[in-house]
Amino acid sequence: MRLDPVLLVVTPLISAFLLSLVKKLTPRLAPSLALGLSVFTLVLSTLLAKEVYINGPVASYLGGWNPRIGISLLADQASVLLVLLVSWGQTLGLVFIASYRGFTHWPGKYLVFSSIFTCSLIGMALTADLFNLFVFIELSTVATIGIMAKPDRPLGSVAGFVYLIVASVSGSLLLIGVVLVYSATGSLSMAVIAQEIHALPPGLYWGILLCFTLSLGMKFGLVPMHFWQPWAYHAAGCTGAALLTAFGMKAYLFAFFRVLWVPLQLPSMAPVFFPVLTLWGLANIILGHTMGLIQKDYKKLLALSSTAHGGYILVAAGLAGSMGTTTAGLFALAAGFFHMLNHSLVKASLLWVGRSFLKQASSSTIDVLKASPLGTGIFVLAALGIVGIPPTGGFASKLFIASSAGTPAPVIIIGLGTLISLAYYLRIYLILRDQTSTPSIVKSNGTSVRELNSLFVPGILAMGVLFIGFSSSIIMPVLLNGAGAMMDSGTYILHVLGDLP
Amino acid sequence: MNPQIPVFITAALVWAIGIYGLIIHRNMIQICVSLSIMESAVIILLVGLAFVPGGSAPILDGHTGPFADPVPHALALTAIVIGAGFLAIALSLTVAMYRKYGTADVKKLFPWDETQ
Amino acid sequence: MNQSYDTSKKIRHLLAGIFTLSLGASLIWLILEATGMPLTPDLGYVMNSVGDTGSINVVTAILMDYRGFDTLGEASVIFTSVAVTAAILAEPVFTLERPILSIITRRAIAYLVPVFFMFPLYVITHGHLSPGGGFQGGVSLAVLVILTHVVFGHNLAMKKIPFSLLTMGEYWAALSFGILGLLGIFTGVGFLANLATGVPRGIPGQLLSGGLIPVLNLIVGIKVAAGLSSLYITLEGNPRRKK
Repeated sequence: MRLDPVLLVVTPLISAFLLSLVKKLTPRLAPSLALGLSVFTLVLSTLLAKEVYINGPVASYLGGWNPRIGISLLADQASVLLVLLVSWGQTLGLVFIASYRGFTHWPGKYLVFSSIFTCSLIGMALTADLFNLFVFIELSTVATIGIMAKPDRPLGSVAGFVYLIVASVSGSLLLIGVVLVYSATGSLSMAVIAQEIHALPPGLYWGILLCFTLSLGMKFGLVPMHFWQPWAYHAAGCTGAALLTAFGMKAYLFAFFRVLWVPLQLPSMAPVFFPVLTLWGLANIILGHTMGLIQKDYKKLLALSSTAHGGYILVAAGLAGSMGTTTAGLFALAAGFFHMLNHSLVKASLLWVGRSFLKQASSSTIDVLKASPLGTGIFVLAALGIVGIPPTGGFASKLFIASSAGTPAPVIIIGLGTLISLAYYLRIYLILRDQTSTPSIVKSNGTSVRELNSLFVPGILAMGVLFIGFSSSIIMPVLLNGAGAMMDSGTYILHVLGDLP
Repeated sequence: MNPQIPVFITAALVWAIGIYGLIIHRNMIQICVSLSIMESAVIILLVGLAFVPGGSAPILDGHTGPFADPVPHALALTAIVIGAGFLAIALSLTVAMYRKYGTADVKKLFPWDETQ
Repeated sequence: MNQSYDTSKKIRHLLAGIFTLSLGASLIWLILEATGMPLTPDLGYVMNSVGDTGSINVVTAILMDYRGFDTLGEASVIFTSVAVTAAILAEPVFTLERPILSIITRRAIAYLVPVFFMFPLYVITHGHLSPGGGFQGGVSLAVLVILTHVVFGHNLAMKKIPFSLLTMGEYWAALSFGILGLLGIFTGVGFLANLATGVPRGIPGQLLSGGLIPVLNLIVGIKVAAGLSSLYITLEGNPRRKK
């Protein structure tokens, strides 16, 4: 019997319910249980990825219903990559907290929210039903506010409120898009819609496309709609912000690409939208980096940098779409996936190592940050990865994206963005270097040992950036496989609908 | 005339009112109300879509004949519940802000200086 | 200066009005385009639901069976938003008592509460037979809790219906929804499967029919009632003073 993909969604969800119960009854047990359950999810996702890459995509029919009337999930070569990334993110996040807090009582409900968040991201990656996608996106919104708004952070509530307004408008647009698709095609299953959508008149099609683009664009920070991100990440604290940007943003981008390629059939319906997407991504790069240059706050700077890096991924997808299912097109999308992986590692590393800087400075303003020598080392490694200096993964991914562009303009803008980001990371490095001279490790009250422990996970992640840079020739074939599954909607439809009537 | 058209016009108008409220209001409670109005518009739209000429509620207790489309009804229920969850969070954030700062005016609470 | 501020405000409102009206107009156009499409084939929910699920209420059949996974998702949204609200506002305490209503009202309500109780109970248990179901009944149950608070005052209400009972009820209901879904996995049919797991269908139209649908309705009813009433209590509670 093949592994049912729905288990990947249900395990974190039931863990969240179980954890809130355990937290009420025996709070001390909760952190270890959470870590155990998240490792279990990780094992399941590894097994699923292995299964999919050996024996092909696995579909799951909820309740055993035909996908035309019920909900179905599909784990293909593309979505298992995201599932793996998200479950690694959840586990590493818990290990990171445990490294400085130990396994005793953790205040707050972070465990519950991070489990629900993981569940919703995995659901977004796997679902083959548009309305189900809407439900998971709303679930992730609610969990995001839980991670973000903490009563002890005064601005947390305002940031949460701003995010809530943005998310409500986004949810309303998405629901309108889904409803329009339903009333035009009579189905909610992505595979069926993909077959029916060719009959739509162009005006209606563009309206639906605009609804989905604006709605999901608000979520991953498409340029004029990225304004909530700096506030949100500032409010979330370093640990939570890493979950939101390193893994949440990737899931929204992934869902956006899936919607474009499968139900909306963009390559055959409106291929002219792909160059628009490329231009929009370039605007993201420019604006994100220049706004980052004048930013004085560490977390907000990293948030704006995320906006820019979302732009790189969009550029890759836009280029891939314009070139179609050719070798070059597949390579461009695989380069985008590689950039996703690289950015997840680097951003999580930067935010988590930043936690110790912020803790020692008790402020998040860049000018007063303090760091231990080891922390500075990790920061430098991760910054090299995000700027894209060889031999890190960032260099490889940017090179791959730039080399897929047929025209010089994207190359110039990617180069320019790299230069700007080099400038602001260099500025932070110089400040850290000057502050490093004060040795802060000699304190004997145990807190500094914990601070040292907290550098463990970011250190591993920063080494990972170096590793994927060296082994890009091993990773790229896997990602090419994933890109092929993402762009080939015919195979997707075949696997969801199968040989069912 | 298609009897659905007035329903659609109402839905679009209510949606526009919700967005308008979101844009112009600065008080958190008024924003919550606007959010709620915007969500109800989509529910009205769903109810209008379920309409079938001469159709009755899709409950099969003996009588035959046309029935309204049941799918939009189920979607509407899900959307209502999600909207209620959002509204509860928005209200609790408002209460938290009011307790802390004694005001629900976003303009006074939000530090507009981007570079800070 | 005040006048120029007013003018700019007026212009801002006018621009917002024009913008939103054009949004609304384009929405109307899009809907008319979408509904103007040639009629799509009927998915057969109405035709098959009694045979497939044993529920004569087709909307409930879709909510609890065909698209039960969405229902689990929305139940999780309510679960999470209750948790978020509890995390934002501290655990409620009632230091200030609200003015309780007069003895006539209290006596009358005390006699009426059992009668009021019948309606949500009917709506939840007959969800597969008549309009209603777990969500609608759960909301009516939550209204009863709020009524108790309004009429008898917070202190008595909190004594009769402890906050921890509501919280635990919600957690257990959520957990049992998930575990009930796993039944389908163990029988090899699929998550949240209903009749295919081998549960008896009953005679459609009778109270005990529809396989797992009444059970799911009951669980969702408990969950929504507990969730919404604890939302009310959390929002209503006085801030805990930090000394």
